[in-house]
Amino acid sequence: MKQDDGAWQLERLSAAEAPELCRAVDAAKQQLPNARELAALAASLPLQGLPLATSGASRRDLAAPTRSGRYWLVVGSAVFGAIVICVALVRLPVATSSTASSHVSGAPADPRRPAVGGSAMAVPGAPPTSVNRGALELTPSMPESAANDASAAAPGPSLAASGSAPEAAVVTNAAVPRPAASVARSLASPRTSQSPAGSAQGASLGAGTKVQPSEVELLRDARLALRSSPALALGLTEQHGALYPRGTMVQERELIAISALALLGRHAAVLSRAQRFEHDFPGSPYRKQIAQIAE
Amino acid sequence: MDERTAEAETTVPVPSFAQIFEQHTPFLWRALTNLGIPKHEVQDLCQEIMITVHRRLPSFDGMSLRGWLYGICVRVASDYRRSARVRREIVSESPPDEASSSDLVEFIDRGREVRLLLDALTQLDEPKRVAFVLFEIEELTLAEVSEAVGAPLQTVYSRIKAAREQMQRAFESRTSPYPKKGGAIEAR
Repeated sequence: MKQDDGAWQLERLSAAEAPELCRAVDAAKQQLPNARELAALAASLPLQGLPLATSGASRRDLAAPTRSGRYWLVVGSAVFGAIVICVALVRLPVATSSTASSHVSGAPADPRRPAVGGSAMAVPGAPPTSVNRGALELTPSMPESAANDASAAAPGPSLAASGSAPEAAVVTNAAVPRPAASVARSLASPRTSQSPAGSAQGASLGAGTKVQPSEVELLRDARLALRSSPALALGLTEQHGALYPRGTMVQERELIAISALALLGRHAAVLSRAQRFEHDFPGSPYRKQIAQIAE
Repeated sequence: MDERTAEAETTVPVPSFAQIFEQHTPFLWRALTNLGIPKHEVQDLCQEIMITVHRRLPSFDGMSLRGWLYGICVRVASDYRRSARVRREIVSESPPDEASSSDLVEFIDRGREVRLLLDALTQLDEPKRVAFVLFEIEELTLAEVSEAVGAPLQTVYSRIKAAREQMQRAFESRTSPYPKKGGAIEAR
């Protein structure tokens, strides 16, 4: 190819010539996959016969994917089996029933949910039903932790104080044992690691049966779902609105709903709801945050 | 000195498949997103890229690894877009679901900007979109983009320039979808 040094030089876009576009490009550069997504991809490759673990693999190895794939399948199965046995041994003194071990061992089979098995091992003393609960509570904390904190501090629906106290003291979940009924309800409520459809179904089931999710549980699940599935988060806030139209956590619900609408790109709805919030709760501690979102 | 010549002179040993995965996958993932692949399909297509990389690595000539990798990425994305399953998909969907920042407002702001960018990118034709994404977001050199898309340097140059102009126009016309404070816009 003819190459002319001077003719085909091109500088990258500069903020001076297109500030808005440049800022958007910079934002796009930060949108890299998270560790969970990369781990799921890495876990799927050995099943395709791709030898990820052999950093120093020679060309000859690379040229024989079929044989290598079989090898990694065998190694992977052995490692998986060992993990299952370890988990079963750790849990043996607490829960000897076969349902407990099968519940845990099923988790690593889905590479999209790697945290479940880990959390099961982290809380060996917990009853079997708390495994998924542990995974849920160990999810990275959300920016406004009022709902989570309130949930940990008092697992009932009577949480009048939490509604206007975003700076409430953080109480870790592990430090406060939950009543069995609360755990049962939480299992019926949606989790972020599930598909939105499945979670929504779980939520509606919870609403339809005698075990109605509490305000705190609904909003906690909505908040946890916010980043991974804003549509689900919005649905949960709507459910909260239907079940608790005059609840004690209306402000939190509005904050989550407005955030979800912003993430869904429903700008007009964001503005309208933000204005209504400002009118209804002029002294709210969330007012500034909501104004920023709607700006 | 031309970048391509410089690279040829400093050709390094071909990395292993595992090294390629470790060093380049996050960026190929990002490129797929910006090339219009729906979020729920990106992992599968990334896997497809890796399968191709693994199969073709023995025949890689060692010239420009990034150009070669992104070439595979562009073809996989292009095949996907042409396939039947994509016909009813919307190219830009919700913004990426997780950010390193824990600040919700910043997270939403960034998501908004990315959404604007993705919306504007959908207005470009495919060659321009690819050239813009590879050069401006993935920061490939002109020579690497040229190798990735299999087009001459001058063609790539023209595409990037044209894409930039179009993107700038798109951003100028819709700077912010939100009015300044006090503006009254009613909900649907």
